[in-house]
Amino acid sequence: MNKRKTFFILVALALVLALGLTACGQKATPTPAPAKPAATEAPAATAAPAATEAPAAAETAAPTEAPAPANNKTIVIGTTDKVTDLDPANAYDFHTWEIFHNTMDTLLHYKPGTTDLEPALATSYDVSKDGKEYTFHLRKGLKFDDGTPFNAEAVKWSIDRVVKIQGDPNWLVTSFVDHVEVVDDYTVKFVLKKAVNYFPLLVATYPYAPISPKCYPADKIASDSTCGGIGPYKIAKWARDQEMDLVANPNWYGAPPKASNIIIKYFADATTMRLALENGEIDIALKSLNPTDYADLKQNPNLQVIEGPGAYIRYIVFNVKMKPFDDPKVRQAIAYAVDRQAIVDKVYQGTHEPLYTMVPIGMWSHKDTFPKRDLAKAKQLLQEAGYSADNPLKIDLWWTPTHYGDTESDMASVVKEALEETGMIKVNLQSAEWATYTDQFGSMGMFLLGWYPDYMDPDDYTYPFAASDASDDIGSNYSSPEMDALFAKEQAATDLRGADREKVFYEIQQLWAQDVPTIPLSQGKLLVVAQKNITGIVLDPVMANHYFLFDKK
Amino acid sequence: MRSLGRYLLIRTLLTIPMIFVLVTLVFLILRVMPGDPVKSSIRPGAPQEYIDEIRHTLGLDKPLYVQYGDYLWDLLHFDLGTTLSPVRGQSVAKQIWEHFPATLELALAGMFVTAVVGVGMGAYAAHHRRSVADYSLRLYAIIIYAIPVFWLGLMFQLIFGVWLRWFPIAGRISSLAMAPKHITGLYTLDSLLTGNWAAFKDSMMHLALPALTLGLYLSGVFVRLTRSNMLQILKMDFVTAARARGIPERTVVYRHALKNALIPIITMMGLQFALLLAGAVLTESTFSWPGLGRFLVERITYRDFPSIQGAVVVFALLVASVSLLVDVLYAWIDPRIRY
Amino acid sequence: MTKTRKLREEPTSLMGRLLRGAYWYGAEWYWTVTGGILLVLIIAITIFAPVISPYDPITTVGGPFERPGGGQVVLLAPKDSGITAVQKGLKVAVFYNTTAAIVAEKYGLTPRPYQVDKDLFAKVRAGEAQAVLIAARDAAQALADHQDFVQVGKPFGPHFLLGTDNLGRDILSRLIWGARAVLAVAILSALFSAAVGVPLGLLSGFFGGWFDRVLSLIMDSVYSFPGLILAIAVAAVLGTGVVNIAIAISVVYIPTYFRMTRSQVLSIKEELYVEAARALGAKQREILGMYIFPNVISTLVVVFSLNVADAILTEAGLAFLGLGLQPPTPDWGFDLNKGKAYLPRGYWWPITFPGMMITLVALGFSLLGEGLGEILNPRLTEE
Repeated sequence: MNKRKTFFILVALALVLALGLTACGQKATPTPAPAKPAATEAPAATAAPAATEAPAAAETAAPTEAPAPANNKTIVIGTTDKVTDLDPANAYDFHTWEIFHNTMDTLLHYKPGTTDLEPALATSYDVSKDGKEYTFHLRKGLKFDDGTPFNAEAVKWSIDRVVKIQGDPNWLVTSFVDHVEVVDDYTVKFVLKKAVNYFPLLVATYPYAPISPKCYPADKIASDSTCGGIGPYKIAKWARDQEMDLVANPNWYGAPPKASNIIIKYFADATTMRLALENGEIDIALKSLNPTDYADLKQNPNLQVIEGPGAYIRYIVFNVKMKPFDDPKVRQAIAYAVDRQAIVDKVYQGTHEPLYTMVPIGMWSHKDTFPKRDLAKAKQLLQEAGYSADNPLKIDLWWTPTHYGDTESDMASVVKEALEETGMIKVNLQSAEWATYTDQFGSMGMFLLGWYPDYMDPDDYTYPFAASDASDDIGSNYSSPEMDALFAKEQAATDLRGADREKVFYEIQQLWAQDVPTIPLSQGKLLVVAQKNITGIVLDPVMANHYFLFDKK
Repeated sequence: MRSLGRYLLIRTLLTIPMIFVLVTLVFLILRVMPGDPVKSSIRPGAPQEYIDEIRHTLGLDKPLYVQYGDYLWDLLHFDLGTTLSPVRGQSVAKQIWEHFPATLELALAGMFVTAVVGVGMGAYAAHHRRSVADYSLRLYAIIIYAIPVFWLGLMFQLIFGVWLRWFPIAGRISSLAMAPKHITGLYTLDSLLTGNWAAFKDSMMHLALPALTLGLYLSGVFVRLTRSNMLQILKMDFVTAARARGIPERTVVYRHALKNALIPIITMMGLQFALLLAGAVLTESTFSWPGLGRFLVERITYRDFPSIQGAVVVFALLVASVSLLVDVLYAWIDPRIRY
Repeated sequence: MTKTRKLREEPTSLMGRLLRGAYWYGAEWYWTVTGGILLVLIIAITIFAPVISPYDPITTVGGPFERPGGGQVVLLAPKDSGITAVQKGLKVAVFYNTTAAIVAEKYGLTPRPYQVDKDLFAKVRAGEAQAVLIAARDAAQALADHQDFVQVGKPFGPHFLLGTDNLGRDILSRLIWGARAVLAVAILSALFSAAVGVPLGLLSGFFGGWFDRVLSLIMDSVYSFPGLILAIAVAAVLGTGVVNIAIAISVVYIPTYFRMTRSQVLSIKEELYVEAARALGAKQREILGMYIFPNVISTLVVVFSLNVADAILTEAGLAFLGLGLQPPTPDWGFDLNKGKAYLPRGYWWPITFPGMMITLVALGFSLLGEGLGEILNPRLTEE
C-alpha cells in the first residue's frame, strides 16, 4: 500500500510540474524578446515572465497624452497575412512593410496611386556631380513617439543599425551605401559605393526608415517592438497573429488620417475571413481570399471588389547556356506557344492578368512587346530549329510546389499542355522544394519563377535577369553587350522618370522580346473587397495599402 | 525486493540513448539533404558573396562535427536556436511553445474519443461474442484503419461542415481575440477554468471534427484489443464467481471485467502514441489546426534546420516520456518486472 | 451437418476448396476472400488502365468542376433561326473556361466566349452569335427563362462519370491511372523494407553480441518514432519520383521486419533440431538458410501484406502533404490535396472518389494479410 501511495504521489507531482512548466513557458502577450533565446526561453523556464529591456510592453499606449482624434471613426481590416518582425532591419514581407508604410515614414515616399516619389521626412535632396553623394534636408520639428527628436543623428543611427544587424533586407542598404555622415542637425549625407541613379527609390524602402535610438536596441532584432517611427498612425496595441490596433499619430506632419482608429484582425484562413466580411464583422478584406471567392463576392450587393495592378509577376526563366535553350529560335518558339489566357483562367481564376513584357502593367515605361499566342509561328520556328513531330523538342520544365502557393502544380500542368499543343514539344515536369530549387539556379534549363520588386523601378524587373553580372546569380546566364549597354545608359540617366530613360527601357523591352532570356506570363492583380460604404481605397503597384486614406461613410 | 523507484530511475536513464540516436539521425539527414536554408530565405538571385556572408554569420560553414558539437552543447542548455527560413532570427523554442498546446489539445481529445468509442465497442463485442454485432465491429476495426485519416477528416468537413453546417471546418477558434486567458494553452481547458463560456463553446465546436477524426482513426486498434482482453477476462474465475453470486450480467461485464481489462488498454494507448502523433500531423493539415505537426511539415520544405531539429526533439521526448510512463505503469502492476 | 461429411467427399477443385475454407478457418476466411477479390480487381484496373480509362488523365478534357455525370452540352437556337442541327462553323455563345467552350472547339463550331456574368442569350439576340451552347443540365431552366429559344438536336459531348477536377481533367480516368503509381510505390517500398530488414534481423538475432545490441537500439528508436514524420524527412532529402518515395516509405518499416525476424530467429535458435544440425557440423550459413529462414517466411508473408496496406496509406499521406508524387503522374493522394481547397464551395467529387480508392486498396491488402495471419498462425486463445 505504501509503495502504491508513493507512486501516485510521484505521478501527481510530475503532472503538476508539467502543467506548471507549460504555463510558465508561455507568455500571454509577447514582450519584446531578444533575438537569441537565452535560457529563459527554454522549456525549463522559471515562473517569472521575462522582464526585458526598455521597449514598452505591447499593450500600453503612447506615454504622452494624445490630443482627441480629429474624428472618431474606426475601420476594421481583415487579412490572412502575418506580421513577421516589427523591426525594419529584418522584416522583408509585404504585409509587415504595409504596417511600416502606415506607422513609420521614410525620407522619401511614393505618392499614393503612382510609382513616383515625393518628399516625406526629407523636404528635399541634392545629388553630387559624380552621383555618389546624396544629401537630404530633413523636415524640422518632428519627434518620435517616445519624445526623441527626429534629426540627422537618428537617421544615421537607424542606417548603421541595419548594417550591423544583417537582417534579410539589409542588402538594400549595404549593397549601395558606403557610409552615412551627419552634416548638421537637419542635414544628412549618404555616401554610396558607386553612383546609382535609382537610389532615391531605395530610400523609400523600410530598412531606411528612421527609428528612435531610445526605443530600439542597437544591435539586436526586436521582433515584437511596437515603437514604430514617425507615421500617420502609431501602434496602440498588438497581439501577434491576433489583432493590431492603430491610432492616429499626433506627431504626424501631414494631414491627419481619415479614420482615427484602424483595427487589423488576423485570420488563420481565408474561409473564416470571408465569412467575417459577409457578416459585416470586418470592413475591408485585404488580399489572400481564395480566387474562387472573388467571383462569388462580386455578386454580393453589399460588397465592392476593387481591382488594381499588383507588382507580382510570373515568368519562365531560361538558362541560355544550356542546350537546347541556347538556340534563340527555341526560346522564341516557346514564347509563341505559351497560353497566357489559360494560365489566367485556369490557374488563377481571373486574379491575374496576362503579361507581355517584364515591366509590369501600371509601372512607368511599361510596353507590351511579347507576341500573342501563335501556334503556327511556334511550329515554324521549331522546324527552323530542326524539330518536328517525329523529332520533338524534349525539355524539362522545373517548378516548385509550395513557395508560390498550391496552385503551382496547376501552373506547371497548364504550361506543359500549352507547349505540347504544338505537337512538336515534349515537356517533362520536374519539381523541387524551394530550398533545393534555389540551390539549383544554374543547373535548371527552364524554370518557373515569380518576382516581387524591391524598388519600384523597371530596372528591378530587368537587370537581375539580363545584365551580365547579375544573370548568373538567377540562373539565366544571359549576356549581351547590347543589353548591357542599354542598362548602362538607363542607370546613368539623371532624371529617374525622364523621357530619355523611358526610351531606353522601351528598347530594353524590345530586345527582350527578340532574345527571350525570360518569358513573362502573368501579373497578379491587387484585389480588395470592402463594404459598400468604404471609400479611399487606392491601389497601386507599391502594394502597400494606404490606411490613412480609408474612409467610412 | 527490488524497488519500483530503482526501476523508474534506470528506465529513465535508458531513454536518453534513444533520444540521442534520434537527434543524431535527424541532424545527419538534414545536413545530407540537398537544398540550402540560406538561399531559400533570401530573394532569388542574390549575389553569392552575400549568401556566403550569411552562412558565415550563422556558422553554417563550419565543419560538420563542429556544428554537431555546438548543437549538442546548445541542446544541453535547452537552447534550440533561431530559425533560418523563411524568416531568420526567430526563436525556435518560442515557435515550438506556441504550437505545442494545439497539438496537445488535439491529441488528448483524440485519445478521449478513441477510448470511449474503441473501448466501448470492444466491450460490447466481447459481451455479444459471435453475434452479428461482434463481426460487424471487428470488420469496422479493419475498415477504419484502412481509411486514410485525412480523407476521414475531409469527409467529416464535407458532411458536417459544408452540407449540414453544424461545425466549423478550420482553425481552433473563430478569432484569436476570442481566445480565453492563457493558463495551459489548451483553449477548451482554459475557457472552463476561467468561466469563459463563449470561448468554451467556440473552441469545442472547432475541436469537435478534428478530435472525432483522429479518435475514430485510432479506435479500430482499441476495439480489437479490448475485445480480446475482455474475452480472456470473462473466462476467469472471479467472473464466474460474480455471476454465481447473482450479480447482473451487465454489471459483471461493464464494471468488473472491463475494469480489469483497462490496464493493458491504457498501456496500449501509450504505445500507440507515436501513431497518434503521425495521425495528428495529417489531421492538423486537414483542419488547418495550428499545431506542431503542421509547423514541422512547413519547416521541412524550407530546410529550416533548427526548427526541424527542435520539433523532432520535442516529438521524441514526448514519445519517450509516454513510453516511459507506460513501462513504469506495467512495472507497478507486475512486480516481476524489475531491474 | 457438414461436420459429418466423409473425407473422400472433400472437394478437390480450387473453387470447391475455396468455398469450403470457411469450414476450416472460420468466418475470417470470408475476409481473406474479399481481400483477394478486391486485389484482383485493383490489379486488373492497373494492368488494363489504358484500355478502360475513358480519357487521358492529365489533359484538360472539360470545364473545371463538372459534376459527376456532367459534360454533355446542348445547342439552343432562336425559334425562327432555321438551325436544325449542329453544323461546323456555327457561331455559338459560350462561357469562358467551361466544357461547352472546349466541346465547341472540338466539334468545329466557332465559339464566342464570354465572361461568366454576361447573358449569352442577349448576345445571340443582338446578333453576336447564332446560338447558345450550354450544359445539358441547365437546358430546361434556360428554355423556361427564354421562351424564344428551342433546343436543337440531342445533347452531345463528353460524359464525365465522376466529374472533373479544377483543371477540367476527368476524375474517373485519374482514378484508374492512379492505381499504377500507388501500387508501384507501395509494393516497391515493402520489398525494400523486407530486403533490408529481414537480413539484418537474421544476422542480428543469429550472431548477437554488441552488433545486435547497437542495431536493436537504433531499430527501436526508429520504430518508436512516428513513422510519417520520418518518411517526410527522408522524402524531403531524396525528392520526388516513384523510386525515391518508395525508399522514403521503406525506411519506416525496416524496423518492423527487423524485429519480427530477429525474435523468430532468437526462438528458433534454441530449438533442438538446430543444435543437432550444428553438432553434425552444419555451417552457420546453412543453418540460417535451411532451418531458420523457412520458418520465418510464413510470418513474413502476413507482415508483407499488412506492410503494403500501411505503405499505401503513408504514400497517400505524403502526397496529401504535398511531398509525394508530382504531376503529371496521376496520384490519389495528390488529388486529395488539390481538392481540399475547393471543399468549402461544396465540390465533393474531387475528394470523395480518390479517397474511396485508397481505402479500397488498403482494405484489400489488410483483409488479405489479416486473413492469412489467421490461417497461418491461428490464435487459439480466441474463438
